[in-house]
Amino acid sequence: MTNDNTLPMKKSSSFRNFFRKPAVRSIASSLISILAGILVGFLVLLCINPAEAPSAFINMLKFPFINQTSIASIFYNCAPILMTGLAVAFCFKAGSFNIGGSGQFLAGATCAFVPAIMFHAPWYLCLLCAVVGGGIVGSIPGLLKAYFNVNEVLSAIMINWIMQFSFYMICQSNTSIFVENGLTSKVSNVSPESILPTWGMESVSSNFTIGFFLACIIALIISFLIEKTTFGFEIKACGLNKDAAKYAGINEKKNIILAFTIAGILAGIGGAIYILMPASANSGLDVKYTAVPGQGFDGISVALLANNNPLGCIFSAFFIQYLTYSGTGLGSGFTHKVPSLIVGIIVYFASFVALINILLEKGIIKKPKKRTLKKKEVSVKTEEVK
Amino acid sequence: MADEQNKIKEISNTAVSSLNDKEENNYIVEMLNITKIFPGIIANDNITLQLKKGEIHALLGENGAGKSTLMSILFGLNTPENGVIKLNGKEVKIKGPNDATKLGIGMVHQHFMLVDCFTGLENIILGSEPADKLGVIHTSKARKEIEGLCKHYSFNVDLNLKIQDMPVGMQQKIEILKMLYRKNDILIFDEPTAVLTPQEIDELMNSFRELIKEGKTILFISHKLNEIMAVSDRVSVLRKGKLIGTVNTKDTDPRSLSKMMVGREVQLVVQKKPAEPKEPIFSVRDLVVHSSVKHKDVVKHVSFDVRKGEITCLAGIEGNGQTELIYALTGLVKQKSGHIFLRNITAANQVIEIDHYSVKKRNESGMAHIPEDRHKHGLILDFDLQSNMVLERFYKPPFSHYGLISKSKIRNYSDHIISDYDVRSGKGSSSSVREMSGGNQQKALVGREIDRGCPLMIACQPTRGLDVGAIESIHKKIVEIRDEGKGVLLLSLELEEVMNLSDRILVMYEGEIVADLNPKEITLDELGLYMSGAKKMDIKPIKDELIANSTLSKAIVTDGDKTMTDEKSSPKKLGPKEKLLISGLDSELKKLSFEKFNSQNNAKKEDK
Repeated sequence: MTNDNTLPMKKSSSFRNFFRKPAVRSIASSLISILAGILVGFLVLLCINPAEAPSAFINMLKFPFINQTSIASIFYNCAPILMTGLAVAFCFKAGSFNIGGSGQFLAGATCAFVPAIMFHAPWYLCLLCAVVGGGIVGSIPGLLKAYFNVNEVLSAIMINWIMQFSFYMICQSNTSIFVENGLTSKVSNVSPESILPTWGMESVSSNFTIGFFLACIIALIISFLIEKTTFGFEIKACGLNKDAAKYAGINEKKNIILAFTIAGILAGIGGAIYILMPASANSGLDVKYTAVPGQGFDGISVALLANNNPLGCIFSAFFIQYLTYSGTGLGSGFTHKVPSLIVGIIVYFASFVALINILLEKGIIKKPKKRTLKKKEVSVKTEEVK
Repeated sequence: MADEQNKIKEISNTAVSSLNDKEENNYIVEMLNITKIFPGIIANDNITLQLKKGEIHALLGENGAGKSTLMSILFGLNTPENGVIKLNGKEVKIKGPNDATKLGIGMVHQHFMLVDCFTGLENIILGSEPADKLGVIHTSKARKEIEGLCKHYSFNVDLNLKIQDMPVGMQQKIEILKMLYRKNDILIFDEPTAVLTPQEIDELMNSFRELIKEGKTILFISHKLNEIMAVSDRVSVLRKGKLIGTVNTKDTDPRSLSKMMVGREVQLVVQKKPAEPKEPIFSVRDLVVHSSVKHKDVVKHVSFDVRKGEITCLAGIEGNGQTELIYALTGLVKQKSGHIFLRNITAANQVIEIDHYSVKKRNESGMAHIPEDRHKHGLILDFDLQSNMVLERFYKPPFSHYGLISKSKIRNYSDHIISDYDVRSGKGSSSSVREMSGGNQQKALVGREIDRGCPLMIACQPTRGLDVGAIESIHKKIVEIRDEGKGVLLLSLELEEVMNLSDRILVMYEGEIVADLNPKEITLDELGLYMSGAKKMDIKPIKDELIANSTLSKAIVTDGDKTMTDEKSSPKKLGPKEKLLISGLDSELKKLSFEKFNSQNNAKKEDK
């Protein structure tokens, strides 16, 4: 009797055990939520224009793969939002919400842009300037939080705008060299030595640079920092329980400042990667003062989608950039705002990762034990009857 | 497998036989074959608990034995995997506290569920407000009713007082009134006496007896055997999720109860030699701590010494400044004024003033601290157990080298604490602390602090929420470190622990030390009088050379600088470095402090 019972149970339990691993579960939940988003996006598309929806939707998903240039475009555009995503994820680990990615991004971009245009500085020097600029701007909300208990969300938003206006002011100070058609002038035209090196990748596509790989390496470093070092231990301890961190002698003020500074550096590098791109890769930043750049907010989606895992950010950044880019392939049957709507829906659903993770956990972990127990109970009861 | 089944069979058989012994109609509540499983642990394994109408039923068990789980199942906070709950012989499904309330089941949680900024009356009617159709609340009728209840049970409660201004005993009465107002007949108490003074415990026990007369049924959880013996009619004992048995209180005694609970003989009285106090290791002088929450000084000019080889106990009712005092001593909160010294740690006559030390520096100077609130301060619940075991030491070898954490070393160390202190958890070192039972969290925490081997141990409620078995082993460890010649400052709200474990009792009342007692010479009642402020001893302020030292006078004299006079310099104005002084410290610091002091004094002279 027992043999009959245990055999099928074992099979299902090994399957469930596989799903019980947290890593497997979080990947599964990401995939499920993305699929749900794609499904709902398609349904919305059906409502708007039933006739063209299926073909347009497939075109849209296929669009980024039609040629090397478009694939390359996803790669280089995903590097900046990967960096801002890391900036957000790192602060989340320290228990703070970094909404200042845009300001830090802009600080890095400005600090890389100005020396490149004015002094024709080599790319590594521009990158270094971006690190310094991003770090300084990033540290401000951390300092305010640590010493004056100012809410970091509030101060970071203010700094976003301060940076936007400073950027505008700097660009307007000498429009002949900084501005071109309402955008920042192209670094590649003025100072080719400031463009990130391609290391032979230009044969694949003219816009391939080391930007994406640089960002991936930084993501690896951040992951290492968080998981393997005492500094990461402190950051996580502060993020999870501030009081216990204080009790353990961890200087939580130091850590909050450092977390924001590092976040600033990360987003700043993102800004530099964006601005030091080849001419065909992007059109530069808008020189205006009515809106802050979107990369900082994209970073929040990247971090949330990756559940604040630095390595996960690589994939989520790529995914979001892929969707953004594929939106342009939707075709003429739809008005120009529809692609953004569909992309928005998919990203929105993708942010249900945490919820689906919990549902999976409940569904997978609790059920099997119930079953084994019932069987035990049944056997006990039958024995009693005997 | 077969073994397990036999066991289950055995237990279910005993349950069945006990069921047959008495008439089923007698029972008001029956929980039959309840099983509840949490990941990695079976909290309740086929437990059958039956309550007779009008009895006081005690539930006794070790930490993590499943008592609270069982009660939360009865109150609808947890759903069992298996089992039936019957009320007056009818099967019921309890899906939430609201269902429980409707069925007449009320519960007083260990941590009261009251709204602090509401008055007693508001708290009692909360959730069943006497409102009319428009949603306007009419309290007058409710007030009359509740006042009637107070009179009937002779509860001395001020309904207009806000909860935050009430003593704990009164808060508990509000909780009881809440249940009575809802006409609950089955009252569950989760460790009701944990926070009360002996007088309040007596009152509560009397209330229990009154309530029984009215036909209520009481089920209470307790670790304290003497209370159970005094008030209960029957006792059910749980061990490791299983029901060991239900016995009539009059047929048993504390010794056999504790044996049932732990599964072995337990020493109920702490076994220790008389203390051999040596030189002081820790001195506090004239300490004042201001609370920004309460907007007043909560510790007022407290001075005392902790000596090596002695367990000095701070006793007092919760909220009399002990917590804040400990915060200041351990560096979590900055004191308003006063001095804290570590003495004779590495060398004789060495004095370090640690007022301005960071928590980290205090830790490194030789202070271990078992915090009162293990969830707030002691542990990071979302970390795994092994990370928590090195919370204060992760940055030092062998746990890390050059800033890189060594997971394997941490794991080894954590395994060692787990086996030494009998920490039980689902997945050993890698289990999430959040999923561990409170008692095991505490054991891990105490193990971590004792294992650091610091010469001074500040232990705040080290046995909070632990069962007799675990209490015994932790008391043993504390006595052990005392006998090794270390200093122990104990903060405890459990009077038995105060009386049993300590060698010297300092009673705190309203932020002051009102008595310095020898536990061998006083009775429990006397201690209660001091704690409630009814009695006060004349404590002479300690006058010694420590405060004078902290102004650097000694260093200057020993340095042979006769031209300097420091009598006028105020200790409060000196920076941290100067305070770090006196004999036995490294010369560079001395030099540094001396130079700074010089310049300061010169500046003063110039001012004049």
